[in-house]
This record gives sequence, structure tokens and C-alpha cells, in this order.
Amino acid sequence: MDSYRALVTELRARPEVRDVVVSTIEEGSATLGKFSSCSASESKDIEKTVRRMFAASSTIGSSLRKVTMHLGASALVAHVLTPEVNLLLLVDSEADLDGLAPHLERFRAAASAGIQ
Amino acid sequence: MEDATQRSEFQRVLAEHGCVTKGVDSVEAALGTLRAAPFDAVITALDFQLGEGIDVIEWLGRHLPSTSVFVVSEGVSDDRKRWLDERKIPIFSAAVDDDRAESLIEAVMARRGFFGFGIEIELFDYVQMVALSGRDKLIEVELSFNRIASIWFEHGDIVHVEFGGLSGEDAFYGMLSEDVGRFRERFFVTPARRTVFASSMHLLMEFARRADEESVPHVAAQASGAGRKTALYGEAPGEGAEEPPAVASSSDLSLTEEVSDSMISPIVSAQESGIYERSSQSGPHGVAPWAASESASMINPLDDPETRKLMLGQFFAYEGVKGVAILSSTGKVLAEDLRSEPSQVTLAGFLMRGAARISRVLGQGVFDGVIADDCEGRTMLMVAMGATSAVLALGEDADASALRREILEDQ
Repeated sequence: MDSYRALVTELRARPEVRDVVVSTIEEGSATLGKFSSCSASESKDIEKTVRRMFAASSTIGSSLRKVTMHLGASALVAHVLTPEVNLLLLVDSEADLDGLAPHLERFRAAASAGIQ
Repeated sequence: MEDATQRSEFQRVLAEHGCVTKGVDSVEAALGTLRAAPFDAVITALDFQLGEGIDVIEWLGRHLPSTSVFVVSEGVSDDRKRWLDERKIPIFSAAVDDDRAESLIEAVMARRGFFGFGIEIELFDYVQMVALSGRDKLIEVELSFNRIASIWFEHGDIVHVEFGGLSGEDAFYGMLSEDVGRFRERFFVTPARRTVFASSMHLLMEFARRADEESVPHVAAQASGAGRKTALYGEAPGEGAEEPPAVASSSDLSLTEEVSDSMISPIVSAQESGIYERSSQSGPHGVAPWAASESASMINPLDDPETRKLMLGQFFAYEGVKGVAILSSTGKVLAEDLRSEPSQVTLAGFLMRGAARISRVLGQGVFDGVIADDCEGRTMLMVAMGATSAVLALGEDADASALRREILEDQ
């Protein structure tokens, strides 16, 4: 988890990003931080729900790589970094997600390095 | 905890965080205390000179399952650890340092909401309440002739039901058709298998439909004798009927296929399309809460193939749309033309229920769409439209975000 700490701080500093959570299978439902508006158990509930979404997509042979949920003024974007690691971003609903692509690549690299 | 020093150390840490505690040093004292007053959480050791902490946990499981339990112990055996894991009971180290205290406090304080027991309510309504709560629950229903029905909820979805030798949807319908019983919550244990795949609301509505048509597989029909009235589902059995059937007949079991068919049918049921209304004259014991409105039965627009075609067609008019399905708020397919992507509709229902749950947990209270990108470059867009949702399979060049905005503006 330490490898993501700096990346999370960097991403949280962006104005369109409201919250960032990294979740890994390796550490159970442990996350790097939690959604600031939620208790730890609520954050775990969210990441568990997201993990089930990705698992359901694999079950029907259409594995998802990204799910964007629009929740009024904000949107939750869930990325599969590796089969074990997901990145959850709570962003402004109309945010330009392309601007976050370089950050995402660095998260992917960190997650891949974790596998090796 | 028997160790007075350890016990008072825990009490001190908890008191610093505003918790009111009561410490006891034996299993007997713990049970006496729990019988006398309600507690939000119980922290127990596993080993006592007389009895075991497991006894306290099992007692809580039988009598107060919504009370949170935490085990404080060093060196838990693998067997015990497995037993505790199955019941999702956290184990904390006996040494209380700041970090451990913080995680324990957080776990103890995580308990929220209202708790209670001993309510009188129809089973149908209780199941609906649990489904809407979106919780993980194991509910046990005690029925006549010492029969037990068990129903597992995960995230509010009914995932497994066992009753009278049946499992899955037949067991669910059979259980709901009972007149009298007692339900209680048990410690949640992940079900060994999943036998129910439809949404909870679908199951409840399907039960209501069958109850109206008197086609529920009444597991107790030959067994609930002794003068018990089964007015809604047929005549009471004869006086001589004493033993419940262990296994349903093959004709009962065939109902599973009927339900499966109804799940994939593009024709919406009258209940789901909203043309049924809450009956002011519910059945005996209020078991059948839905009744058809005679006038409304003439106006279900989605029963008409042409109307369905028109509804789907309006979405094909948007650029980049390759397939369309319309889902009800319970995830049922109202109309569908996903062409080469028929399995996507199953996933869409799952994603939308998940997104609605996340919205609720995040306190947003609003959920107006999902965009799902798969690893093969395909994109699915789901747009919430009041009581229904549109699921659109998009071509590779389509801009899902722009399309979502366009559809919402057009609504």
C-alpha cells in the first residue's frame, strides 16, 4: 500500500477529484484511506460492491475495465488496475477524465510492479 | 474477561472514547448481564475457567444476533479462527496499544441504526423491509411442526433459501405461503451455495402474482393440519395430517423453470409495470398485498409489441447505439433488443443495483446513470429515467458521456 500513498496524495490535490480509494484483494477489504464522507465500514461496503460488479462481468464473459457511476453532482469511477487492485475515484460529475489519464497510468504501473 | 487488569484496561480505553461499559469475569455473569440490559457490542475473551467465550457468542447468536461481538485473544486455534471468520467476528489482540485500540473503537462504534425484536409483522412485509435495507442477513423462520426455513440476504438480494427439503425460489414461495410462524435474525454466515438469482422485488412480486392465482407450492398444504386455516391457498388439510412432506413433488419442482422463464421474458408483468395497486382488501392475514386493478389491466403499454418497438426505437435514433433494453426499477427486462449482446442485460441490472446502493452509502441520494467499459472496447450506457432505465450497447466510436447528457436533456 505504501507504493500508492504519494500517488493518492497527488490525485487528491486535483480540484476535480473529491476522494480516492485504492482497494486490494491481498489485504482483504483494507483500503488506502476511506471515502471521507463515509465510515470505514461504509467504504468497505462500497469497494465490496464494486468488486462484485467486476466479478459479475467476468462471470458473463465480458470483463469490465472501468465503471463510471453518475451520482448527481459527483461520479464514482472505478478502474481495474490489476485483477487484484481497484482504484476508486470520486470526481465532479462533469470532470474531464482525460486529464486524469497520466495519474491512472502511474497507478497501473505501481499495481503491476506489486505483482512482480 | 477474567483478567481484571486486562479488563479494566479495555474499559479505560473505551471510556476515553465515550463508551459506557460493564465488565464481567465469567460466562455466567456475562449472560446474566446481557439478559438484564441491552448492549451495542460485546467484547469477550475465549477462555474462562468455567465455560468458554464461544458460549457467550452462541447465546448472542440465538437471542441477540444484532449485537456486535468482538473476540480478544492471543493464539486462536485454526478451528476457532475458521468458526469466527464464518460468522464475521473480528479477533483483536489482547495487548491494547493505540493502533489496536483505534481499530477496535472504530469497529465498535460502526454500529448504527435502530435495533429491536419481538415485532408482529407479515413475513412478506418483513422480507421486503430486509431487502430494501440492503443488508447481509440470515433470517430463520420457525414454522409449525418444528419446520425451519432459512433465508440469506446479501446486499439486500435474496441469494439462498432452504425450506422443507426445497431450496431456491420454490422454497421462498413455499415459506411465504405459510400463515403463522416466528422469525429471528441469526449471525450472518455466508451461504454454502447460491440458489436464487432474481432480484428480491421480483421474487416478492412473483409470489404476489402466484398468491393471486393460487399457484403457490404450499409446502405446508398437507402438513399444517390440526385445524390451522390456510384460507388463501386452499382448504385446510384433514385432521389426520400430522407430518410435513420431506420433499416436494416433482410437479412442485418444475416451478423453478417457470420462474426462470418469467425472468427472461420481455413481457412485463402487470405488477411491475405499475398498474397494480395496493389492495385495500388484502387476503387473509394480509398475505397477498397486491391486487389487480380491473381498469388498469387494460392500459399496460408494454404489453403491446408495437409500443415496445417504438420505445426501443427512440434510443436507436441516437448515434452509436447498437442495442437497447428497458429495465424496470427492480431489474426486470421490460423490452429488449440488444441484438448480439443479450447477456449484457443481466450485467446491466446488476450494475444498476450496485450503483444505487453506492449512491445511498455515499449519501448522494441521486443515481442517474452508469457507463461500463469492458476489456474488449465495448461500452454499455445505462440511463435512469424515473421508474425505468434504458440500457444501451454502444459502438466503439460512441461517446458515452456525451450521449448520456444528450438523452437526459431530451427527457
